[in-house]
Amino acid sequence: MAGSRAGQQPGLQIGVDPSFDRIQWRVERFAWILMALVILLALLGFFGGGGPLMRATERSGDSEVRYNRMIRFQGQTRLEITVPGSGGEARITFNQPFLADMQIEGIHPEPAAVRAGSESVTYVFELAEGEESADVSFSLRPEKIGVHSANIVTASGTLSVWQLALP
Amino acid sequence: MDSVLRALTIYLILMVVFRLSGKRALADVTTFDFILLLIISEATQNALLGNDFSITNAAIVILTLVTVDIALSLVTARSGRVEKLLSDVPTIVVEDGKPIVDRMARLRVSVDDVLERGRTTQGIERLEQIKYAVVERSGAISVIPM
Repeated sequence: MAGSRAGQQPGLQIGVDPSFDRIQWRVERFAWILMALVILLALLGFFGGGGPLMRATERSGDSEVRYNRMIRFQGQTRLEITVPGSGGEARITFNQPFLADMQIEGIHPEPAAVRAGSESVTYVFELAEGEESADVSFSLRPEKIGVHSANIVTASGTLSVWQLALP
Repeated sequence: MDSVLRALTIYLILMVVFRLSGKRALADVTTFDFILLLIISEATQNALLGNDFSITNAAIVILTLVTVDIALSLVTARSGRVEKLLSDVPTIVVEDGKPIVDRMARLRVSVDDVLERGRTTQGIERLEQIKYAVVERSGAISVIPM
């Protein structure tokens, strides 16, 4: 009998192909390493859902916003804003296009008033007595895949934020 | 990050539960076992995905589950001890035609189960014709005739 060429094996009717096997094995091994790398990146936060490398903070004067750069389409995300106040109230203004693509799931604490305009929406928070700034958290859900950028205007300046919503 | 952690946790919980439920748990799938399996998958779905229905989340969860499975298979292939721990060991329940009663009771296997398996796979008529019956790691019964 001839040797074991691809697809032939003496005595056994079987479609073996050792060279294809070897290539497949190599590709598999490579894919496993790739998969482990993707998981590592996911743990670091590259694919959204939190993670140490994708936390971002913007500051302007006394205001600060903390958020995740990478978010997911229709997944939850949070903007945590520290905003200075004056005259017993603190204001946070968002540009309208940002809010059009982000569904607001909740604001904590609840704003005392919301003032809407054609270009922007302003949330007004009453400060507790003796307090000079407020920590406000917005729970958001992106309604669009792609880049979401916001200009958040506070008493001490404008915070520019961008987030990438993955599919 | 949360997707990976969710998937790892669920994998661990399922592995422990199914490992502790014993050999016969899902080997001979009855209609009820099948329904149970569906309910379990429904119950784990929420915990796995949270309220994030993005493709990215699903992809990361799937990738994590498959990768953990591969990683564990690599570990078990190298270490006999880990393999025993994760995949169980086979158990002989019939030797030279004689059932080993205490083992069968522990594994929840009856003489009828062994005979049924013997009939379907080996055409065996009586217990005395069985040299060995083994409950394999998967929970399936192997029958070796005299």
